[in-house]
Amino acid sequence: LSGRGCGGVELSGLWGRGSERGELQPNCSGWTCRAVLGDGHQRTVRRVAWSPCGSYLASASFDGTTCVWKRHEDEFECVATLEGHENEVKSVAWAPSGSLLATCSRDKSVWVWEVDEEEEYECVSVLNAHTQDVKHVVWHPSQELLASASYDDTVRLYREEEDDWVCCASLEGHESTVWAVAFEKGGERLASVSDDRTLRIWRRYNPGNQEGIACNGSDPTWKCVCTLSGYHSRTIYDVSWCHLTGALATACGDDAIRVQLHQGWAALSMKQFPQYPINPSSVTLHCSASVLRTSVEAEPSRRNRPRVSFSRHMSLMALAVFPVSFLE
Amino acid sequence: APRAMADMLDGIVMAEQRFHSEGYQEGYAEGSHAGIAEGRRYGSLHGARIGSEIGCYLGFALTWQCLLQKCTDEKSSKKIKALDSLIGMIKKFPYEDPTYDKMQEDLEKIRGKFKQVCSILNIQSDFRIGTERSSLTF
Repeated sequence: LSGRGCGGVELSGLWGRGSERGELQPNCSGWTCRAVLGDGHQRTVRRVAWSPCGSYLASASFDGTTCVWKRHEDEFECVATLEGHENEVKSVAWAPSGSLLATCSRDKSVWVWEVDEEEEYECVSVLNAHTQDVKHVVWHPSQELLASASYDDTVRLYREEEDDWVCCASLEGHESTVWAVAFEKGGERLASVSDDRTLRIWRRYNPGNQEGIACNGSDPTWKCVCTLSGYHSRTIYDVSWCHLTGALATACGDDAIRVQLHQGWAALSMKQFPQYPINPSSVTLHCSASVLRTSVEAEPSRRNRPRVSFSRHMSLMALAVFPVSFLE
Repeated sequence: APRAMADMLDGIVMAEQRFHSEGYQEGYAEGSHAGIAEGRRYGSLHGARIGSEIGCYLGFALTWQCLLQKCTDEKSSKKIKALDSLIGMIKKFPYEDPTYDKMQEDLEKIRGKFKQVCSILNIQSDFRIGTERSSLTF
């Protein structure tokens, strides 16, 4: 699924599995374009996100709006246009409950929206914790805890407190823009990647923790427990933490995708990547195109063999160098 | 006497250094004075700007609170709740204390709340007049 502007018309393309071959390369047969949502936005569509139930699609655009589309088979209807941000909306994310949506923008704010049974969206909070452009927002996998990454080098966390949302933590340590964050499956760790070419892992310490880390009232404290530096030679734009295997995949401006596995978190058999002479705990995939704007997601697999899926652009390149099978 | 001679020579030899030093002291004193005056002007201007902004939000909120006071439906009650929250935040803000350490933080919270209220009331928070770009700026 991609959102990209071309020739002034902003499109969101929806790809589905089909039996006919579209205009795609033979390698990607099986994928057909099912819908094009071309009228929703006036500028670049920067991010799209499916709701947990799968019936809705949210699209965040540089035109300052976020559209929510309701799916009826292959037809999509725009059921809401969320306005309010002063300029480009950089990211949108659905909370696991499906009733909250978060957006963030270059206007330095993070907005939290709530949707009711009548599909009415209402802004419940405008959070001005960051001092610069906010690049990414992501929800905790099971709790109503929100994380945001910004050009101000920090990651902020937010939670609800007495009908309003507050910033409950500020994760400082990165030396440059934080481009993306990802929670671990259990939600006790957070990974952040930055323009400073490091990947940092932050761990949550709850009040009364056995390590003796001090907490502010009932709020947990997040501490940086690991900084992975020297692996990436350029800005790291995206990170994804596989909820099945614990593997961390990063997208980097040096044209490589790296998959990191930590013995302590998850073990992955090296049988999966046989033809590469690899350092037992990491795999580097070099591609001929820059992974500048690609999101890498490591998908859980039925057969206990992790498969990595890429956006359409990257998949064509990746297949040539690495025989990864794609999610069916 | 050799003593007086030494002092006199000393006075001549050290003259430049002494003038430098006196000049520096005078300059520093004058600069501090000018700095305080400028700081005072800047502070009062900046303070007035903040006051103007918050005052605008307060007036706006009180007006809407008044307009909605007779409404009892659920939608309106959410609006009233948000307005009450904004008014509460503004009234709690310590205007008398320029050294309040959470000033910036509280101001950002008030701005955020104002934006949220505008969103709920379906009003554009940048109050543009016609097609000119001159929005209400503070």
